[in-house]
Amino acid sequence: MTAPSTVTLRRPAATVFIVGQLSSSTDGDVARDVQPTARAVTTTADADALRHLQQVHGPVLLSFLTRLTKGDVHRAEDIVQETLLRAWRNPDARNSDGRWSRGWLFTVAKRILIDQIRAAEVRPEERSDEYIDAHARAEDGIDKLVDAGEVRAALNSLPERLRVTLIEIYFQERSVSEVADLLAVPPGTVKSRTFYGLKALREALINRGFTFRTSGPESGTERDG
Amino acid sequence: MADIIGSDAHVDQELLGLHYMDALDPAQSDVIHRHLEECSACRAQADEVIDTVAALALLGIDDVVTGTAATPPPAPARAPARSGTGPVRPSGRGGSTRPGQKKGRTGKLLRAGSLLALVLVLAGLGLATLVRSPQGKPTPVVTAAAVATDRTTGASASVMVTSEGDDGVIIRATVSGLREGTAYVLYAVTSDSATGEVSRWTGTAAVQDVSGFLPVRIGDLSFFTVSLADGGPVVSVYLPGVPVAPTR
Repeated sequence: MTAPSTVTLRRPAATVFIVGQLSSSTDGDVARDVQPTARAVTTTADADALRHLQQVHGPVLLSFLTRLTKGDVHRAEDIVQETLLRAWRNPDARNSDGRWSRGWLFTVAKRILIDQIRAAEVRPEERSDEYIDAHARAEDGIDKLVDAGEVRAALNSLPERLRVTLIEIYFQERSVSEVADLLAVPPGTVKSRTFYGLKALREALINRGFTFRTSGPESGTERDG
Repeated sequence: MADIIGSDAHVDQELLGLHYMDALDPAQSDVIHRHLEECSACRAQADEVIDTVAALALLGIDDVVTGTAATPPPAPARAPARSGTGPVRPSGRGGSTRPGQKKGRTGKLLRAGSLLALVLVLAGLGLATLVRSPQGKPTPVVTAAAVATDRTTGASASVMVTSEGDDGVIIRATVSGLREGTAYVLYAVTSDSATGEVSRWTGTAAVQDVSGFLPVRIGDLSFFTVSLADGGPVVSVYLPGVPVAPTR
């Protein structure tokens, strides 16, 4: 999934771009990589693709990672950045229309977190059987941090047409028109099924005790303004 | 698609989910993103959508989606139990009432692979009607199932069809014995010989689950064929009630 030559070519410009876009929590490691004099190999299309990546997947990645880190927003933000950076360095992870694969992105994000947990768990003096165990547990643990089974059950509780639509759009990463063709319904139906599917999923999750930062339509957000 | 910003000067709520699931054109997503930067009301809506989509991200694709190679092959050797070229041992087709079971099926199928599919097929053989209504509001669901193994190619397939009322049918197939890296297509053929593509995937050594939706009535379906994407049929599965008519 890597293409070394392409990556080398694009990396400086990519880093500049990311630093500019994500200034709020850029740390030193990223900043050191900045080479402002690098020739501007970033095409408009590339910049657009990265902006789209950030706009669309950035907020969801942040929410996802905040949950996995049990509310550690700063750590989650760092991992989002690192994920976006890795995405930029792996243009091969994009599909034919230039978008990064959602599945790839979330796998990378999860991997970064797992690596961090492992690094934190390992202390030199403990490297023995316990080390091996801890090593093995880090990955197991991440899947148990949250009860994916509840999400699965909630998803499975949805009416078939809503569930199928969500799966095609989200997990199969199909476009609205592709799903419309596949299900032989108008695009507007795919749109509304996605909307009601997400709404029903949220309700099903809440009924199962799943907690959200915003638990209802009345609660608003903390960043009002 | 409809306008992104509605007449009330807010983002069309129905687009937020598609936006965060990356199903919109980048230009549409741009408009939404810019609006969200300025509108706290829409951001509140967006936050809910974000968290819900992020909850979905807790599931892997292999949790919910068929047709990936992620499924371990628990019992690949079982399917050929009823062998024969092409046609098939029909299983029962009948009205059954079991919303709960149907809902959990995809995940279960993935975990249990072909074994469960086979169990479902066998269950279909013995029972014309399965009735389960764990949630109190049973919806009639008509299903049909059948299984076949092609001795020539060594490929097996079991197919399960679920009627979605007037919308059409959802077709799920568990296939094994395919060649790794080869492209396959599952076609559904109706009794008046209309052919629809159900799913297209790349074969692996493992048992694979594929699924798709077709806008046809369940009663019109005759048989299914797994074919090479660039060639002939590999295995055909006939539904009950259709005269045995091998395709080769």
